[in-house]
Amino acid sequence: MVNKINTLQLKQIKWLIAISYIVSFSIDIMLNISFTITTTPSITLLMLLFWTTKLLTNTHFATAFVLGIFSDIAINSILGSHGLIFIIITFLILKVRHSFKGYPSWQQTSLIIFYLYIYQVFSWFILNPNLIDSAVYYWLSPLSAIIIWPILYKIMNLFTHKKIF
Amino acid sequence: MMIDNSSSIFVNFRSLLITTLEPIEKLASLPVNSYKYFQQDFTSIASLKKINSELKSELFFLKAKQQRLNHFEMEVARLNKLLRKASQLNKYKVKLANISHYNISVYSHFVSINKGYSDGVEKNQAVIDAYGLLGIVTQTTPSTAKVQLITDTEIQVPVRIQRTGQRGIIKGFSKDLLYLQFISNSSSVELGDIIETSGLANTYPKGYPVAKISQIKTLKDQPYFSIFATPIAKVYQAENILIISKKLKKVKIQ
Repeated sequence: MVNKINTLQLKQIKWLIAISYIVSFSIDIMLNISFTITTTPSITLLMLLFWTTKLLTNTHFATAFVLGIFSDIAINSILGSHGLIFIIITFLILKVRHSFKGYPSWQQTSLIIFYLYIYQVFSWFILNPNLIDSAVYYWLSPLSAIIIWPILYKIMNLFTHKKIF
Repeated sequence: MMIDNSSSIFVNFRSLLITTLEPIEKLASLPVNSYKYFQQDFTSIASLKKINSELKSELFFLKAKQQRLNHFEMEVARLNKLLRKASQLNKYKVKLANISHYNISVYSHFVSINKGYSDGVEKNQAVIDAYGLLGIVTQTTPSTAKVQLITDTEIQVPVRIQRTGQRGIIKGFSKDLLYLQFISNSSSVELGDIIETSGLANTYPKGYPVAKISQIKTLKDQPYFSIFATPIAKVYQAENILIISKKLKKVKIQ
């Protein structure tokens, strides 16, 4: 029964998933290009985490890798570095995603912040960012998920609920 | 990741992906472009007239300067001939382009420009603005190219100090600072000295101003100074840029 509903979900919302990734990716680029905000957490990664916890029938590794490749192109980093980081984060959240849905909002947000910190640590290790001007912002930016994650979760839940029921 | 650094096949793959991303980048730069459009649209006629007269007078002075420059070029060429020097003055072809958008992050500093390889833009061509060296072309697509700025930590430029001719390597340090390496403790360096491209490695043409020395430190037990410099080019304000072609055209001596 659960499997049936989940399969149905994926088929029904594949366009929603594609559009949500395009929109979140555009927001990421827009924040950088148009508003020169460079220290917000990746909205694309948050969207990936959302779908990973929402659609339980897929591993989302391929999606993570493709999104990572496009992130590399967008910020001109070594091809595959973001793909690798996104896959690691996806793998980590796969372990807890069944219980994730049942968590209260504050616990979900805390967990997301934890994953964003893992992302920052891996980025720092692999991509060697220049933190001379913005070290504080870089290490504090995952905390902005306190605001971003509940909003994103609520908006996306509105769309998915509409589709399912 | 290693393949991306070493293989040329992935250059084309990357170019393909950049082309795929272009519509999203255009969409993302819509707010800043619309702001610029409306700002231009509401510029008053009086201020346009003022800008026009300023540009006219600037053009007049530049033309006068150009006349003297032509004279000096010929003179240097004649002196070179007298000294029987093989090297002569080189003239580079330049292409005008506009910056589509800036992309400054902790990972890289680059700009996208509106000319690509169908316009003759190639990888590793130097890019300047009206004041000095801005960066280097690192990626091209048919209609756009990415220029990595000199403030990016991955960019290293062979330079020399204009006043003394002392050679070194300059690299990006932070958003507004460059770090000059390999200037020995015994050499003469002063605050305000201009650093220009030395022309070594043939990537950057010789003699273009890069930065002005703003900070000199002597480090204990180190053979070199620790020198910081501010870029001369308007790295984050430039809108029009010139791409310098690597193909050289030698000046013939009459």
